[in-house]
Amino acid sequence: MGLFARGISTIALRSTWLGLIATSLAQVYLILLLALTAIATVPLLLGWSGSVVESGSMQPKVSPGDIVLSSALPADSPVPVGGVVEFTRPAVDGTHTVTVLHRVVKGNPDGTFVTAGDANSDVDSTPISRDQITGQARLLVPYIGLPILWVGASNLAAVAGWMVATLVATVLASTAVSAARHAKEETDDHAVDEGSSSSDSQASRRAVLGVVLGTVVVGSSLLPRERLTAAFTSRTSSINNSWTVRLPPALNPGRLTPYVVFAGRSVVNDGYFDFSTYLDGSVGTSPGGTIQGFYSWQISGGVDRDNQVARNARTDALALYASLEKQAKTQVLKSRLTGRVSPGTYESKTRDFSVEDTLTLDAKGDQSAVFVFRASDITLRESAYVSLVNGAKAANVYWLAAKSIVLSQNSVSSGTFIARSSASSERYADYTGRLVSLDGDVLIDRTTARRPA
Amino acid sequence: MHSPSIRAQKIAAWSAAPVAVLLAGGLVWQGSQAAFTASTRNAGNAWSTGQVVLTDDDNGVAGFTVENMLPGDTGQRCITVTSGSTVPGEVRAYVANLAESKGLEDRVKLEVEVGEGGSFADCTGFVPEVRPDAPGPLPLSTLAEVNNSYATGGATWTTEGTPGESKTYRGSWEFDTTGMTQQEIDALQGARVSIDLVWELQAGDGAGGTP
Repeated sequence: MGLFARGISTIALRSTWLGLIATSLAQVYLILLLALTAIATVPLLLGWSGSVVESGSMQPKVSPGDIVLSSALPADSPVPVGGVVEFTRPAVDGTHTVTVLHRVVKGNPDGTFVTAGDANSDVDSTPISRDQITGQARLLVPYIGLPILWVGASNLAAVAGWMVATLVATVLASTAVSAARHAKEETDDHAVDEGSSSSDSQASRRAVLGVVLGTVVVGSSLLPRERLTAAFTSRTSSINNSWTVRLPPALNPGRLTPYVVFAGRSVVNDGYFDFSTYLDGSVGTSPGGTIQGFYSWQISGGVDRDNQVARNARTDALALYASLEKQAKTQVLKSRLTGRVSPGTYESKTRDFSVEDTLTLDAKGDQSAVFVFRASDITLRESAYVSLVNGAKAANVYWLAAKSIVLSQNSVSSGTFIARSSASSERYADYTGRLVSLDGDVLIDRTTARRPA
Repeated sequence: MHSPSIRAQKIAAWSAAPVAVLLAGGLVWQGSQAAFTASTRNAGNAWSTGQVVLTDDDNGVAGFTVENMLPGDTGQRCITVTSGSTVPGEVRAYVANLAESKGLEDRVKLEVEVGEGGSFADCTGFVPEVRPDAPGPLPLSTLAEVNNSYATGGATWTTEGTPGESKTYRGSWEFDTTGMTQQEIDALQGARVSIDLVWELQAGDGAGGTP
């Protein structure tokens, strides 16, 4: 009788070692399947919850396809630091929440907890609060959730392969059961009734088949379907990006403040017959000591010829000049200054600046707005007018000339004019500010000037 | 070869069930013990072979170290972020650890764009992706409020799960003093703000398709 003539022959299978091993493995597999299913389902009756792990950040200890059984963690019981918990959090796409299985790494002082996947190099970026924790993982049932994952992922090949394998195992195992019966009959009766044992074994085989398949179907339907994500996470950072403000030194006239005219060498009022000059402030020189051509009433403040006060003023004038040089340039302007200018530090497109008509300095409401003009030579032409509007103040306007400054006749201007070499204020010029020559002479002619308020 | 004896067949038949039940119990017990017993997280063991690793090319050097910053100053820097992930996921950029100073955090504006080309050493060749919903430059203080976690992260990048995928991010900053008085600007003298830029990959959360 051929092996396949009446299906798989019980006797033939069981009476070879290969067959015995195969059928025994099939039995073990099926009972293992049933046992794991039972372990994964029975605790649910006790109020535990079960979920299928669907991703691998808790590997190697927890893998996708494992079922995790968790006990509830009542609000008053402590959070198991070092243990594994389930918690809910918004999904990556933000549309729903997911339940995550991760280990509690530590508690934060603010009452939150740091979690991490065992396989993640970084801890989870967002600490969890106590009320996000839905349970503590207690039992890990390996593999048994794999078919659920396969079905969920529409992995039909895996599902089909598993079903076929289980079916084959069931068939093999059922032969084993009937073989056992057969063997029992043999030992009991010492007689072989081929026909009856054959029909018996077929009947018992069908029974076993039915029971096993029924249990698998029922059991797998009882298996928990909740998904647990063990999300992977990793971070990389560009740390400690810094921005530091280092503004140029503040502009501060310091001890130059009281002066309306100051020179390195000499201050000369052009001729004794000039009665119209009036300087409301101090006049000083240092290191030179020449101040001449003034009637005493033409200077409201002190007259300092290289005394300590004048030397201090020169020190601060030099510092002011250096600070002006260090101001960051806002813009380069045409050498002829005209129209409306916003606060800032300006240089000339050529080397010089000139004002020929009206130049309006617009502070735009900022009383602290500063205007700085830097050039080699600065000239206010005849009748030029520097107008300050919208909060611009003469005290915040500076003119720096590497060489000379000329305030031509009838010009009206504002600001601290500070030249490296010579400076002059011609007939009927008027300014609110200071006229300074660091190393040269200041020439005055019928000028009205006052210190800035 | 001898056939298995009847005794052997009987032993096999009767031992399969106990063996399987013991095996099931053992698997569950051992797995639960290993996984769920409280344990300390050790650096450098399990995750050294982790499937998800995100790296960048800055070698730990800060992208921006701007000293002597003046009003109106601007700058740019690129960083290439590489995913070593074998699972699909999504990378998001956000900020952390803002150190404030004198309100300068309201005045330094930063924009982060995602694209291709360029590197930490040199932005040359960087081509940003067109992102109509990108917020544009925002003050560091605003970023720290609205863009401070993975959930609120931006400049997203969906990874396929192929190790070696990379994107370049370009950070553009500006010291914007528009509307400030000179006095207010002067008050910022010496102010120093700092911030961390973080790129985080999350995977296995249904992100990017397959779990």
